[in-house]
Amino acid sequence: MMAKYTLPVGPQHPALKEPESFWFKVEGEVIVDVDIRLGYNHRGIEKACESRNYIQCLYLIERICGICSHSHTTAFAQCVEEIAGLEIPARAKYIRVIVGELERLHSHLLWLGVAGHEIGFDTLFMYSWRDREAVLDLLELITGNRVNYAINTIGGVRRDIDGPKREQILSQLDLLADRAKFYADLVTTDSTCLARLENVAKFSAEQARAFGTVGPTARASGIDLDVRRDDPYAAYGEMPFKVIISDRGDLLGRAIVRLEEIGESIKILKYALQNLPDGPLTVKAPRKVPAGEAVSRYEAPRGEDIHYVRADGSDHPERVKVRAPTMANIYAIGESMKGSYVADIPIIIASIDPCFSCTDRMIKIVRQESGEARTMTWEELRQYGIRWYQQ
Amino acid sequence: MSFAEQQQSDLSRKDILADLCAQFPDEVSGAVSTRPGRAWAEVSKEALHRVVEFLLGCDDKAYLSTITAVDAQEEFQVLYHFWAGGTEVTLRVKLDHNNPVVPTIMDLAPGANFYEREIHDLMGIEVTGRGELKRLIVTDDWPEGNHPLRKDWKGLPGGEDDG
Amino acid sequence: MSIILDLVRILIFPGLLFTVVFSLFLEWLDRKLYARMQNRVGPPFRQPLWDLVKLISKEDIIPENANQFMYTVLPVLTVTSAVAAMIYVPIWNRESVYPFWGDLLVIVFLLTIPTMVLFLAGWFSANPFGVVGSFRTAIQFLSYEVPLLLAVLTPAVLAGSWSIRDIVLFQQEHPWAVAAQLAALAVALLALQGKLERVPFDAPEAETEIVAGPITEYTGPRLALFRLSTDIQLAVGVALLSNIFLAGAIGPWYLALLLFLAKCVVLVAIIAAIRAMMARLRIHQITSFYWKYLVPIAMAQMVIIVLIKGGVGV
Repeated sequence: MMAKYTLPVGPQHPALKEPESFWFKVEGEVIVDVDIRLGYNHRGIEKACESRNYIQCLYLIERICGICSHSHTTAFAQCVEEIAGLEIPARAKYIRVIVGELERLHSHLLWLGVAGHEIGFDTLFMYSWRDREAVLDLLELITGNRVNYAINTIGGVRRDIDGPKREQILSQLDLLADRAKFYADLVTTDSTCLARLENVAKFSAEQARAFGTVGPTARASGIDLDVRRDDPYAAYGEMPFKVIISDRGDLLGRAIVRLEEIGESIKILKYALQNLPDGPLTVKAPRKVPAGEAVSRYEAPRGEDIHYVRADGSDHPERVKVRAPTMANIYAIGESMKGSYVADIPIIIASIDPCFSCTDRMIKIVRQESGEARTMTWEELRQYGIRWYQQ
Repeated sequence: MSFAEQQQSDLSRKDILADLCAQFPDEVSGAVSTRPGRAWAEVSKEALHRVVEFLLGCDDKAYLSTITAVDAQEEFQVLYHFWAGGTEVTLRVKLDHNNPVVPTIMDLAPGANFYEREIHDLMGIEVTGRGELKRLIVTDDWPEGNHPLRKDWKGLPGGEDDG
Repeated sequence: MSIILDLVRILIFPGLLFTVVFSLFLEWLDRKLYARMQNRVGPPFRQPLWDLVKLISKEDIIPENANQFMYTVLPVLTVTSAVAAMIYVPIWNRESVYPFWGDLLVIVFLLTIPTMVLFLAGWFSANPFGVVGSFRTAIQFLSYEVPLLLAVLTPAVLAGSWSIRDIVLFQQEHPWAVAAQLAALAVALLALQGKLERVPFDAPEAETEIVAGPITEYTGPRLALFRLSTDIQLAVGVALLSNIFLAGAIGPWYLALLLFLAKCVVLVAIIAAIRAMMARLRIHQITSFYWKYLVPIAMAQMVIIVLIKGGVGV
């Protein structure tokens, strides 16, 4: 019964919301090794950016990920603004912070639901996604979209937050703070949750640092890192908040860090909304960006998001590099899984709040079958399908 | 002191670039700081390992952020982005276009594993000293010598190019 | 004449037809209550029926590497054994249509067959998730079976009989007996939750871990039979518990039927609430939960029952 066998999780598996492949070598119920393959979601975005102008790139980059789209556009816009030497207006900086923190709220609530589902606690899933709707409504109120907000532009933001909108957002925040507190209590006291989360997939601060983990995953292992504080961008230098750290290093630590961060985000949102400075929303950005390069860091809900842009003086970038937080965290997860139980696979994968769309972004997908260059056009495929069913 | 000033003063931002130049006067060149918190320096690939070791050891929060490969037409550049001493330090290694090879830094930063496999898959940078570079992003049957992020890549031979 | 009566009993009431309708009703009730507890609307009344019809009308696929014979026999076996168990459960009467001195044991035995079938189903479906699910099913079976048997034994010991009719009669004559064995009822409900592989004891078919466990490879009509079997086991389970722990039915047939239904609804509501309130446990946590907590509780209950029996002298 303790025979070794291989358990494939992915590219299609109920535990994964996006295609990615994990091959687990398993002994009984214990994982002895894991092989991770990325690439199922590659859309060639980095390559595609090289042939588009900066504004087109911005909208393409918005679509790297449905959850942290604002993170990616802000990071990209910051790169371009730095190369072009633009200083965006204070009001625009605040609005970037507000949308960014709302995005963090909705991302953490989404994560809580997914984590609940992975450990078979569907009631938590339903409740937290219900509350997440309130955040999505606020984002829709500000930007007009529930996801892919498209609020950023190079040199500022595209929409203003006026008085009534501000009041409406503020009125929802207390409710959300209450709910976040309720979930934090629930996760830290419910005995079945504790049984599943405590002391699972532990890694120490040294390991977390060596693997290069970022964001809540790193902070749950006691690493005191937060781009918003350490390397302030937009208006974060003025925002009052505390960096939440837990030295547990296990799944429970990662849950606690995320849930308490919701409270800190709400603090930031209140401060930013109450102290929203007056002024214009944009500065004029040049169509052609002078030659140069810049690295921009952004604390996305899942961790540090890094963009590197190299401009060659034309209206399109020479190279765009995106390192999404999941890329930094997934390696650590693979390592920390060894010795865990099969039952913990889904929740360990979920514990870094993975976003494989972010991680995979670069190459052109060429449909191939068994190495031969046999490709089908959509029309051929449709005809094939019709023929198959007529038989 | 206002909250913002308090937080600003908490930034333990060392002058990492000066330390780097003092430590490696011959190996490091072209050191510039474009703004507070950003530093760039060029390193020869022979000295890379020692410089990385120094950077990762300079404080207890230092880590490798990512590795970027750039096809600069006449040469390849591999950029190592570190968060070290409160600064985002980018080390630039310039490589011959016909023979792009860098030594691995996986022994110093295990997290470099995926980044090195990524630049190998997409830009065709060979990484020595770490054994076989397994495919990470492209498929296992991806033809050799095809590196999608290179400027001269025109699509797979015989493959469909939907632009 | 008696053959026709037997056929009616087996095929219509309380056999196949009634059992299917009753179990689909309980499935709807379970899903609806679960949904309401999660702040959802929940399925319409006929949804379980439409689900069944949909699955039956789907394409029937047998994996190439699976054992063809087992793949065909097992789904039928699981449903027939569950329906057979239902025939021995009293519905609106004090006794079932075929009462005899050991019918309680027969029901418990018939209910183990679907679990064994599940184990074999995963084993012969040539799928790694199925194999993992099979092992978990077997481990879980060894965990809940002992507390379940101990709990079921309690009313039998108190009434001094293995016959459901005698147990029901005893409890109707001595209503205090119901209160005396509430702990055994709790143990039996938790064991039933494990038998039906529901949260928090659903490790054998944990969706996010091993897809669907033993029945991962099953599709279409075969999957429909497995799902139907689970529903029928739920129906048999709550019907049995309402008889041996809650004094069965009494009064004219319509009142008795209402009473029976009410007891079943209450029991389903309890196990739906358990499902809604908890996260899934790992398989070894399930085993230790059953052996560390439920077995001692069931033993203690048994001791109390024996003492009461000695003291009261019934």
